[in-house]
Amino acid sequence: MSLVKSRFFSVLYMFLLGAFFAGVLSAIRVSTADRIEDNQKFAESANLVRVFELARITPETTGGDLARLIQARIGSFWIVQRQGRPVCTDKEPGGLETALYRAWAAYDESGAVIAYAFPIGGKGFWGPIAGLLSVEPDGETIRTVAWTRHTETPGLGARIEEDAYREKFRGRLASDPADHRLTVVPEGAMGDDPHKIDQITGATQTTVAGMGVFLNENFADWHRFLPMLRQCAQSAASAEK
Amino acid sequence: MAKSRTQKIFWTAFWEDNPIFRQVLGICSTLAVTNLIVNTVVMDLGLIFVLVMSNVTVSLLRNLTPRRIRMMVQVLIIAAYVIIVDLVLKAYLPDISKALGAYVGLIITNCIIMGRAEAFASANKVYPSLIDGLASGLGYSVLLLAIAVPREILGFGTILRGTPWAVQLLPESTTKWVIMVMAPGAFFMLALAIWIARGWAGGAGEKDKGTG
Repeated sequence: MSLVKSRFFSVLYMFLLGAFFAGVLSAIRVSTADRIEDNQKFAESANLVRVFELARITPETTGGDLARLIQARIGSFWIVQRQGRPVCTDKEPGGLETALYRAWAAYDESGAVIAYAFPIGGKGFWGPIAGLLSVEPDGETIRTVAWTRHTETPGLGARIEEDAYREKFRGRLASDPADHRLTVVPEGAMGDDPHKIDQITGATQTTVAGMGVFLNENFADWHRFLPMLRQCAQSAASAEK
Repeated sequence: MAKSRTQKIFWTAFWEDNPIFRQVLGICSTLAVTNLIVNTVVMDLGLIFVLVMSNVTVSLLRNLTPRRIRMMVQVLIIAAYVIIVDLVLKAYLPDISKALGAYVGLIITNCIIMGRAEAFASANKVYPSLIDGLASGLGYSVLLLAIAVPREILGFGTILRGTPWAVQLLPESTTKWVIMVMAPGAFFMLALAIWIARGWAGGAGEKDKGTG
């Protein structure tokens, strides 16, 4: 039996080839890791700025521009579990602290809160959908939405990212579902009702079965922590002054 | 002589054995990405790269690879190139990477790549394998674009939607054929494209491979 035909050679060959490609992929992964991480950080910062509508993101916008804007105008807050009860803090939880919730507040130049943002997300058609939703200082009137992650079908469910669809959220109410649920209705049927939002025709699973369910769950969480977050955001602004 | 053989390999892979309308391979991606031209173009480029590189690599290793593990080796090679495409898109074209989502990873499941590696590259020299991969990829791309352009125009009324070069072809007031951006529209357009291409190529049915 020739060496090439032996079982030992097959195993050795597969092992060596696997090791070779693992090495090549590792090298490419390492050489692109910083860039991919920068892209992810840029996308996160851009979404935060976009959801608060603080600046227009253009191809010239750099990560540094966004970081400066966030530092000057946006505060991050966490609800953490301390000694068995939820507490609001503007310090990122560390050690054994568990974050129960996270939200953001945007301030004007005088330090007054101009909007809040909180995470939204849940099950989509193909996988998880995640994003941020901003509301006016009343805690209910929606400003806009920015989707951060999804795997919905390009051209169908992925149209939730299009500006025209995001604009439909403006002025709708993120009410506590115990009082009033937001309902996803057939495209074009939402009218002026602040408790209705259009679906995307052809993406029923994404917008009705997905978004229609998780948004109300997200709104329930938001209203649970809103009083604490509001107090926290205002105290942070006072401390800054 | 060499030139005519190259031309023959190219034409066979590109048209006579076209992966879409002759072999009916790679249909999942054909149905999935052809509702937007930009997604189709990126999928085409990714597939051409993986097809050419995997054909070249399989051909280079053809005399060394034991036959009993050749398919494992081909899958390993194809998977490695797909991951490279995924990493490069994430690093240099993050918006496109986000738009294509899972489809980039799904290039690995495209039967065309495995089919060309097994049917051609594993038995031919490097240069013909390169030409075969390139021509198969181009043949796939041309058919996908032929399906994507009418789908986007009828479904959205646009060309190159989602890019800085987007053009609104149909007025906003036009009723869009929503079915064109949905899966049934893809089936209709694919069937139509296959029918037209086979009719144009002549000898419809004679060269059917009977593959799925």
